[in-house]
Amino acid sequence: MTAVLDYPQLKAALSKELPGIEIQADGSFLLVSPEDMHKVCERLTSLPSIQMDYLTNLTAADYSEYIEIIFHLNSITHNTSATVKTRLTDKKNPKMASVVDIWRGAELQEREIYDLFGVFFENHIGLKRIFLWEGFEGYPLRKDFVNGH
Amino acid sequence: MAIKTENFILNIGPQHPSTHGVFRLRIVLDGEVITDLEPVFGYLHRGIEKLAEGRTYLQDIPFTDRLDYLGSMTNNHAYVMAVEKLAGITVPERAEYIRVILDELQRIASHLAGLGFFLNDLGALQTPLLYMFREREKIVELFDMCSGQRLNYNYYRFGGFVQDLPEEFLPALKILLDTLPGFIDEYEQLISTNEIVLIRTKGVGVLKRDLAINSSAAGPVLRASGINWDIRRNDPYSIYNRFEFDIPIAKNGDTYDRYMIRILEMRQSVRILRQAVKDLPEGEIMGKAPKLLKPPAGEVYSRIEGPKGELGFYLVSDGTDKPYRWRVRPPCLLNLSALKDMVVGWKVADLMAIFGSIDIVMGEVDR
Repeated sequence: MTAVLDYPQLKAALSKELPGIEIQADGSFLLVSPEDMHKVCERLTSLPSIQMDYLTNLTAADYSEYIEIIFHLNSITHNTSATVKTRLTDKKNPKMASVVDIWRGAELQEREIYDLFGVFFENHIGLKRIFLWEGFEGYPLRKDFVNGH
Repeated sequence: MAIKTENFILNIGPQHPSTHGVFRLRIVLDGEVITDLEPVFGYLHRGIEKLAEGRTYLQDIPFTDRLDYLGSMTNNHAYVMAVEKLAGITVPERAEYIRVILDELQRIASHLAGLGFFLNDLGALQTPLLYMFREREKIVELFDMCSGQRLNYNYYRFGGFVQDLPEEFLPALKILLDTLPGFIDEYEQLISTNEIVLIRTKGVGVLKRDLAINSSAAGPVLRASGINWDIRRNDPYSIYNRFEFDIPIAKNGDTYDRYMIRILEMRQSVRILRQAVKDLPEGEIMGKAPKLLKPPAGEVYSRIEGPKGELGFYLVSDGTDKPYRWRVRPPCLLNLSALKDMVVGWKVADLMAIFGSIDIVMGEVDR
């Protein structure tokens, strides 16, 4: 059975590595500020006791106050899993650092989030719309995008 | 004097028999050698994730059939399992056994189709494909018996199934299980040691172990690269921990290994099926679930080992009868993450062999 990491412990380990960053440990996920996300992801993969080497799922969800980016991570080495989230409050111009340099698996998923939610990932290797055509107006998975139905 | 050369850009698709649907590959060629590749997606994008948000949980089950349409049963399972987790619905024993039976049958059917098309891509036109489809047809008939459909089954419900297995199902399944290992032997005899297949696949399109993990590859593609990772074993769901089976692992990560893993997995599926049919209990096939489902506010990520890899559903509920966010973790799309690294340096003719061995279905890539 894949064990879910203990979030308070994970928070303590990360705070020790990266003093001064803001992390909240909820019961079911770790909440990190968007500016620190890249640093935290780097440590999550490199710390031998955590070693989240497999990015299982990367997605987003649109809420009224913010856009949430959700990372579902796995460690194939330790058979553990963790959920890490970050919230982008600037909904007009949401952006965060890309994690493609850490996990190649993020490449297509970040493009998907850019396409459907309009989140800009800085330093992505080729950020452009993945499913919709360039010039399509709006971001379909935002709640304010009205469906044809 | 050096001859001046120029790179050549070639478009493959979107309409091309080897791209398994509407998919475009833009490749840059130096002579016959591929130097760069860019996959172009979106020709089959139907906006399923958005559409699902506008319908009730129950109305979303048919959408899952239309993701990877060669693996509808497993898609159904992944989705209903996520909703059951979200709403706290328990599934009766008999239904769990039937789920395992249908999932493993679906895995065999999907691998058969995948291998058939793979050999088609290698240039063995139609003959191997029809050998594979001969057996797949029997599985499709079994699914037809229980769901009334040959492709998009829509058979799973929250808490169980829409109806019990018909009485002719198990006798037909037993006959299939008796004959299937012989047919897999036949495939191996015809293909596994075939000289042309060996030359075209051994050592071709290697996906290295580290890159396989880093690029979120899943399923047979991941295991062919030597990683022992199968959700059925590593994060057991349903009742998979009751069965004895092995997880086949290869070590080279080449096209041949990706082919071989699927053959070996089919044999293991037969093993699981035999145990499940033997132990199948009588009883209810539907747990207690409300007609109009309103899961409590919250979120869930739930996953199964589908035929193509880890198929996950991330659902967010806001307490209403419609999901707030409906996300599919598509193994077919993510298995293409490292496609460029696999094909650069190989010739155009190898591209289709490598691409075919990943086994993708566009319905799930584009959604």
